[in-house]
Amino acid sequence: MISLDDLRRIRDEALASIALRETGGSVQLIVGMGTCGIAAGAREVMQAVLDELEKRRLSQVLVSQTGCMGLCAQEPLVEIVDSEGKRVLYKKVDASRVRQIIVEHVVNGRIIPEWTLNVAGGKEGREER
Amino acid sequence: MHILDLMENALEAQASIIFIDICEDTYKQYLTVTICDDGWGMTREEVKGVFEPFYTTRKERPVGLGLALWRQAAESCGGRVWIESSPGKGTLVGAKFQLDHVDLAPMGDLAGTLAVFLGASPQMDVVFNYTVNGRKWEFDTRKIRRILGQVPLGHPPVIRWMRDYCRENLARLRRSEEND
Repeated sequence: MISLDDLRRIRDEALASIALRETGGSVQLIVGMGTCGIAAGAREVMQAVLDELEKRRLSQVLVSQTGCMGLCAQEPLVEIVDSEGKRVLYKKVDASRVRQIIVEHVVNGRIIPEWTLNVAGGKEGREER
Repeated sequence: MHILDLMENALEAQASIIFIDICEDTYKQYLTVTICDDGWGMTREEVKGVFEPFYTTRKERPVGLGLALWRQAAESCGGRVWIESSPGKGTLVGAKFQLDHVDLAPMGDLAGTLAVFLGASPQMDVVFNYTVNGRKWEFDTRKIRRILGQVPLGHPPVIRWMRDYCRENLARLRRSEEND
């Protein structure tokens, strides 16, 4: 049975590890969750994101959501903003793709070009696909 | 899916708290769902149009399907929808569904939906009430925050705990009803 005591234990563990992760640059991961995104599977994508981040203990990744970006046909969309402000937008993401995006892009810093829709900001400038 | 969609509306209306009430009556065979937020609300004119497909309060793009789909879901299984809203006060959206209707979509993974929403928007508070034949279970993120202290609600193990905790309690609520 899952109880409030389990929550207290999680809290205490988190407080113990908080000192360890006073990191500088943080990465942002944004999932498009408008009606179109949700219909295309953004909920499952978000579930996979939260699961993968927890499994890999990536607490420096800020997860957030946004509404429809006007590219409904390419949903679910996931955007990664790195610590230098470079934004990479991935199209037609599903649960398994987003796990690979987290491993390759967020952890190893390698963009997966086949799945990107747009890369903007940072040193490379703007590149439309 | 609809519930998540409506929660996203509340988020965009700059709400800070959402109240979700789900009430199941297996004797009279109906299900009511109300979602109430403290966002910026809508004017009377806007309220009139919200159930029309492609209506939206957004300025950038004139597309809005959420509430039209919600109405379709309710009316296709013998139910109805209602909405109350005023500028600055927030919005209440409700729907009544007939439980034994063949076209009623399954409720889906509510606990997962809540966790997904809170994982993505941990600044929001959600008060979730689920009642089955008068038996009530409440989940209130404000209470969770009190326990957590300075640990953020969006901390991944906390999100997972919320999902499992909700899932277990909702399953128990349904089970206890079946055993009666």
